[in-house]
Amino acid sequence: MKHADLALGLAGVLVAAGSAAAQTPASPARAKELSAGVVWAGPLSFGSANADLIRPDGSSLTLFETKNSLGPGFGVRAGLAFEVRRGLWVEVVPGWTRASLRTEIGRDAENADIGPIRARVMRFSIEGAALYYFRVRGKTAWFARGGGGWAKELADGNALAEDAVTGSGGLGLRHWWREGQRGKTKSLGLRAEFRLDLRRGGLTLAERGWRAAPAAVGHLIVGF
Amino acid sequence: MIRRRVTSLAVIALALMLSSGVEAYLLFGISWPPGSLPIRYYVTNRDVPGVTALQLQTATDRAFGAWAGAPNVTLGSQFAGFVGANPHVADGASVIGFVSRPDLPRVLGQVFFQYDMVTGVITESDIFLNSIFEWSVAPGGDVNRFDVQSVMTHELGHLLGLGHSALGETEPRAGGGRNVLGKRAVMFPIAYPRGNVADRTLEADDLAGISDIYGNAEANRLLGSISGRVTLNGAGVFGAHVTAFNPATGALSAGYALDNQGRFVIGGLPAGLYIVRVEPLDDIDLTSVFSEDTTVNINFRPMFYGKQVAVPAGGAGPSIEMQVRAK
Repeated sequence: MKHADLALGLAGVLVAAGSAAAQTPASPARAKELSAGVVWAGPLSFGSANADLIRPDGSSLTLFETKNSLGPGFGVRAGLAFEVRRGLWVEVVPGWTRASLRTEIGRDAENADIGPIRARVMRFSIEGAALYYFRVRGKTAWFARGGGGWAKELADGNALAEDAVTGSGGLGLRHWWREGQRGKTKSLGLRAEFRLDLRRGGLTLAERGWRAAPAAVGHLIVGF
Repeated sequence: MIRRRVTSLAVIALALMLSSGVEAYLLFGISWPPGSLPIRYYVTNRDVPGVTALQLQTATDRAFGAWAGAPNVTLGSQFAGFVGANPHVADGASVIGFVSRPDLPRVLGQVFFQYDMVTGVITESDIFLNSIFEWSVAPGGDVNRFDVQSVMTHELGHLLGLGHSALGETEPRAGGGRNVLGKRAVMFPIAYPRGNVADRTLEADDLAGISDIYGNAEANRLLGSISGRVTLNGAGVFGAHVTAFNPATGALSAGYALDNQGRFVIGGLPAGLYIVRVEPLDDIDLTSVFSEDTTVNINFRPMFYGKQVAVPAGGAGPSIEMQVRAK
């Protein structure tokens, strides 16, 4: 149900974007953009799981409980984007993110010493995305973005590596502070984006299926 | 509560081997070599109330099937016939049957081995179920009787080379023995009460153990291990019980620190992230696992390792050290 809602929401954004773009003045044609930036990935629940023994009557006797999450992470992104038609761009974005896996222990049957349980996780990803600029005001333009890709997640000194399927959708804006002339000078600008990152597979603790987490991305962009 | 044990002589000999090695958790260090598979066994042609020799053989065959059906292991058994011989006779044949042992009032069954002390190759292994108890082969169990297939699954684990698991919680019972509060391994040394058939089905800890001994190439490719040390003030803690919990599957597996350095290995684990916990071995009689002359340190507090431990497929993650505190 959540996925369906999300899909509808994104579709709504894109439909709205299409109608808005038709009413806005054409943005300066820029065939390509290179970008580099940083990303903040919000916390992501990894679910709860109990370490259970089985009582003689078949019921569970919990040794301890775990509540798991992927903490906020930071990373870097680079991107190469092409304008395929007015207002519509596609881009490919490789990235690297580092975050912390967290497990909280509860209700230990023997009152074990409990400290924080954490492990560093790295994610290498590559994503393809489409951006639609639906409103342009001077040097600033708003866009909707959706994409999907693949990630390799590594834990514990790269001892464990798992693949994940990723997706994302969100809204953002681009601002040029220096607009160049095609073939002569380059444009320089910033891009900021707020989005929902989706993930399935990869390193797992107790989560199931797709998981969503908020993310914010800031890019320095060069247009030419 | 009634306990099941392997024969004392075998336990002493095997526990000494465990004490001096760091091979892994619950393994006796002995096994049936591939050339001796399928394991041929005979059944003593003696009925007891409620169970015929044929029913015993059928239940034994199913119990063997539970072990042989573990993923990616190479195992097999073959019923060789009914015989008049009793188990526990060094005759070169592996015999399974009922024997009345009133001198063992808390023992449901026992396993005896003959094996090569140098190579660890098992040449014969006999099992008896104690017929002073009432037994059942009812599909759903009988609340007044012990389930043959469940107990046989446990005893066959020994026959295959597994020792006792400590994945369970117990409480002392008035008059001696312990009551099982809960457990998560067929190889836990204390049986469920009469009528319970849960031990017909292997748990993750049993699967890890059998994969560690009889795993095939696919098991070697897919399964990994956790290894490390348990220390108290810098010294190794012999006999510490280390548990690995996989939150993604809910599976629990465990092993022991098996030398004076406190080193342990838990093998046969599917790849993934594990929560690792160590506790003193205080829920079973120490002699269920180690020989009577072994000193096991149980004077420390349980604790969790501070990181999720990654187990890669076909290998081992970084070695970990768990520094426990004295009680």
